[in-house]
Amino acid sequence: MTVIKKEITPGKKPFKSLYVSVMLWFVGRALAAVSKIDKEVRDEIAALPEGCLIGMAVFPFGYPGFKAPAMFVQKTDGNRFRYIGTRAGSRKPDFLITFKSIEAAMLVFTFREKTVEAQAYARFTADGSLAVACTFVRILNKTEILLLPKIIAGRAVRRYDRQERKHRKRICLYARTLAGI
Amino acid sequence: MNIRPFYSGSKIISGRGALDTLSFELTGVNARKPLLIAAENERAAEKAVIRALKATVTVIGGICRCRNGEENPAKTIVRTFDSLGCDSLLAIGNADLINAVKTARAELSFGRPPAETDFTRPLAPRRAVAFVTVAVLTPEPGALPDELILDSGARIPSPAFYPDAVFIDPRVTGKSAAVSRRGETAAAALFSAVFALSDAQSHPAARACALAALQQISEAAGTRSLPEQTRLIADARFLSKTALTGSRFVPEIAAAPFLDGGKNPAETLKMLFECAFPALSFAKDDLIHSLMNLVPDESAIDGDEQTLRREFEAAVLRLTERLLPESGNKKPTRSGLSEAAEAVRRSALNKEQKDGCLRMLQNLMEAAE
Amino acid sequence: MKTSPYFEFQSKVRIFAGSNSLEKIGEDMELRGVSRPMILSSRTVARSGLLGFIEKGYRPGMETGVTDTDIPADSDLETVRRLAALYTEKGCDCLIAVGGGSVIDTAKGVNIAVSLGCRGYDITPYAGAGMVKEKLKPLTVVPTTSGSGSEATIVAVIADTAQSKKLLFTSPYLLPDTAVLDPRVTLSLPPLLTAQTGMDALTHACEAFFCLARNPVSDAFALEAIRTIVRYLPTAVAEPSDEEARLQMAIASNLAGTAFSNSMVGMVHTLGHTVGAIAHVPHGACMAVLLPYAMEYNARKAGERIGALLTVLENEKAFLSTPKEKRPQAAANAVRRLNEKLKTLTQGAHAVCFKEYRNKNGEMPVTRDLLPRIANEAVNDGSIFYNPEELSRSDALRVLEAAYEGVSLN
Repeated sequence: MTVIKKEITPGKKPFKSLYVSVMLWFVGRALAAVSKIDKEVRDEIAALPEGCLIGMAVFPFGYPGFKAPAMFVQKTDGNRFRYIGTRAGSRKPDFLITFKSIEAAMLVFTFREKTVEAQAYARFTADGSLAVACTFVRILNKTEILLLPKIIAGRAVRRYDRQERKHRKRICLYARTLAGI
Repeated sequence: MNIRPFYSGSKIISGRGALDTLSFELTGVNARKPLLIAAENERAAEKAVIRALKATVTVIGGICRCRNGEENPAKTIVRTFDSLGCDSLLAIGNADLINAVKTARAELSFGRPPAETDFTRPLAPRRAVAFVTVAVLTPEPGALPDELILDSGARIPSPAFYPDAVFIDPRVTGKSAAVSRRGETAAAALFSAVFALSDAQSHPAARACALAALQQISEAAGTRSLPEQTRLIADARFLSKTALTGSRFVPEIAAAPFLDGGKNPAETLKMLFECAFPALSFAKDDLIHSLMNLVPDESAIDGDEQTLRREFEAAVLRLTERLLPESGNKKPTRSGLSEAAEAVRRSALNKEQKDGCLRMLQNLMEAAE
Repeated sequence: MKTSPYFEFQSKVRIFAGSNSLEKIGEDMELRGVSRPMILSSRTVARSGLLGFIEKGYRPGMETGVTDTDIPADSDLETVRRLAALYTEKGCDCLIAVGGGSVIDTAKGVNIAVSLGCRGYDITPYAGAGMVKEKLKPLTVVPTTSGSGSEATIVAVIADTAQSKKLLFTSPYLLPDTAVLDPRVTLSLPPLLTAQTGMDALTHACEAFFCLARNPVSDAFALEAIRTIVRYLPTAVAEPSDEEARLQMAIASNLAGTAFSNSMVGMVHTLGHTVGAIAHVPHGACMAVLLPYAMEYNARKAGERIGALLTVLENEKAFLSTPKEKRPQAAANAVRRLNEKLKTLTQGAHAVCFKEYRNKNGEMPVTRDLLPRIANEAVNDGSIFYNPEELSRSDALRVLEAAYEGVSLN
C-alpha cells in the first residue's frame, strides 16, 4: 500500500467564485431595483416582516476563515428592498438560501438548471421562515422574467407569465441595477 | 403475519454533481479531515474527489492507495488514520477495498478488530467515525452493505457496517477501471434484484429497492451516454444489495462465488436464475411493476399470473442478452456442481447457510442428470 | 420512466412490522445499549394497555424510567421543556413515542433538548434546517395512526405559543432510530379517523410520485404504498378489528412517509395545510378532498406520471384500456371513487368535498367566503415549490372552489 502522509488542502475555484459573486451582486441589486419599479413586487414585499433580511450564499459561507460568495437584501420603508452587500453583519437572516457547493450555484447561474429544479434536486438548503421563502421565490421569478429574454427566463422559472410593458421595465431595471439607484 | 425487519443505513446521493456535495455532507456529520483510501487503479476517481473538494472546508488528511489482493490493508488504514489525526474515512474502490475500509472503521469505532468483536451483542462505539464511499463500477459480488467479510470468509451482518453515504457520480463511474465490465455489473445487479423480489416475507421497502434497481438497469441498457449508464448501473448495484439485506438467505447468491471458481459471476447468476426460476414466486403486483419498467410495450402487463411470469422471465433474459451480448447458454455440470459443493463445505458460511447452499446444489445436480 | 439527473435518498429507520412487534422493542434497545426509556404517549393509548406489551419484551435489567401522557394535541415548547426535565430527573437513556404526530414531534423535540445540552431545555436555537448536527439519543416510534408517516420523517413541528408561531425543525438526525408497526395499536382507531389518515398516506405517496423532487427509489416506495392502501383501506374502515388490514395500512403509511420524506409533497399539502389552519379541518380530510383536484390540475405538466398511477389506483386492465391522454383524469376519478366508497363505509361522515364536511358539532367550517383568504395564505406554504405546475392565488382559488362544490376542474 502506498501511504501519502501529506495533508491535501483543497485549492480554490477563483473564476467560478468570481462569476457567482458577480451574479449574486447583480441579483441583489436587481431585487432592489425591481422593488422600485414594479408595484406587484412591492405588494409582495409588503407581506414580509419589517426589516426582513434575506440572503443567498454558497457553502462554506459562515465558516470562520472561509470566504464564500453571498448577497443580502433587506426590506426597507415603502416596501422596497435595499441591497446590503455580501455580509449580513451580526444579524441572523430571516431567510437564507445556501447552495451546497460552488458547482451547484453555477448550475443555476448559468441557467443549466431552473431554480425550481435546483430546489427539487436539493442543490441548496433553505433556512428560515417558509412564508418569507415563498414570497422571495415569487419575487425572484418575477425579477428573472423581467431581466432575461424569454428563451432564457423560460428555462429559469416554472411558469413564464407575460409582463405588461416588459421591455420598458427591463431597460429601467438594468439601468437601476448597474447604477445602484 | 411476520415480516422481516428492514434497515437501510446509507444516504444515496446520485447523479450529476453528486461529488460536489461531498464536503457539505461530510461537514453535516462533523467530519472535516477524511483519510482517503483509494484503489491503485482508480486514479481518475481519486483526482475527481480532490477536485470536488476545492473551495470547501474539507481537508484530506492523507491517502492510502491499495493494490488489488493486498494483505491486511485494514491494519495500515487504522494506523494511518490515527497517526494523521483524521476524523473520517472516504473510500473509492472495488468490493475488497470497501470491505477493508469497513474493517478498519469497525476497529476504530469499537476499539477491537471485528474478528474479536461480537456484533450480536449490544455495542456502543467508543468514537464516531464517519465513513462514506464514492462508487466505482464493481463486477465482483462482495459483501452486502450491512455485511463485513472476515479474513476467514465468514460474513457478519450488522447495521454498524453501512456507510453513512454513498456518492454515485457519473463523472467517476464513467471513468472506473472496470468500466469495460459494466455489462457484467449490471447483470449481476439484475439477478440480485430478482432474487430479492422473490421473497414474500421481506419487507415491502426491501422489495421497493429491488424494483427501483430493475428500473435503473433497464434504463441503463437503453442509455447511450456512458457516464449516465454507469451511474445507473452503480445505483442499481447498491439498491439490489440493499434489497438483499432485507431478504431471506438466498442460496443462489451465496453459492454463486463457489461455482466456476468465482469467475464470470454474472453468467453464473444467469445460469442459477434459469434453473431456479420455476420455483421462485413473485407477487402479481411486483411482476406488473417490473414489466412496466422492463418492457416498452405496455400490453406486456396484460394477462394472468402465469402469463406475467413468462413475460417477466423472458424480459429478464432479453435484458441480460443486451447487457452481456457474448454470454452463452451456460448449463450446470455435475463436476462443476460437485466442486462447488466441496468448496461450500470448506467455506466459512455458517451451518444454516451451508445447508441451504448444499440443498440447492443437490437439486441442480439431480436436474443435471 | 427516466431517472432524474440527480437525487438523494435516505431511509435510515430500522423497521419492525408485524404482530408482536411491540415486544421486539426490548431486543432493539439491547442492541443499542440502552435500558431505561422515557415513554411518551396519549391517555387513550395508556388506558388501552398497549404499553404493557412493550414492557413484556424488556430484557433483564431494563425498566421504564417514566411514562408521560400529558401531551397536547399540538406539540409545544413548554411541553418539551417539562418532559426534558423529567427525562433527566428520572435518569432515562432513550425515548419511546407511542402515538400520533403530536406525540412523535414532542418526542423529537425532547430528544434535541436532552441530547444537545440545551440550556433550560430551550430548543429554539436549533429551529430551522440542518441545525441539529449530531446523533441524538435512541428514539423508537410506534405510530398509532396509519397516516402521517412521522416515524419516517426528518421534520418536527413544535409550536412556540408565546410567539404564536410554529417552529420547523429539519435534520436527518431527527429521524427515529426504529419504527414499530404493530397492528394492535391501530385496532381501536375509529372508522372515520382510519379513512382520513389512510387518505393522508395515499396523498403522501401520490404526491411523492408526481411532484418535482421524485426519484426512482421513492417512486418504488410510493407505488408499493398506493397499491396497499387501495387494497386494504376500505377493509380497515369497514372491519376495524381486521389485524391484517391494520398491519398493511401501517406498512403503507410508513412507505408513503419514507417516499414523501425524500420527494416532498405539492399542492394538496399547500392548500390542505391552510384549510386545516384556518377552518380547523383535520389534515386527512383535507387531503382526501384535494387529491383528485391536484391530479387534474397537474395533468398538463405531470400527466404521464399521474397516468401511471392508474395501475395501482385501479388495475393494469384499466390502465391499458384507457387512452394515454385520458389516464390522468381516470386516476383522479379512481381517487374520487375511493372517497365515495369511504363515505359509504363511514355512513356519510367522510367528506368528498368541502361543503360536505361537518365538524364534531355538526357545523360546516369551510364556507365559500373563507376560500379567498385560504387561497391568499396557501401560496405561502413551502410545499408549493415542489408542485409540477405553478400555483398562483387565482389558481388556488379556482381549485378550492371546485373542491368546495365537488365538481371536477375539467
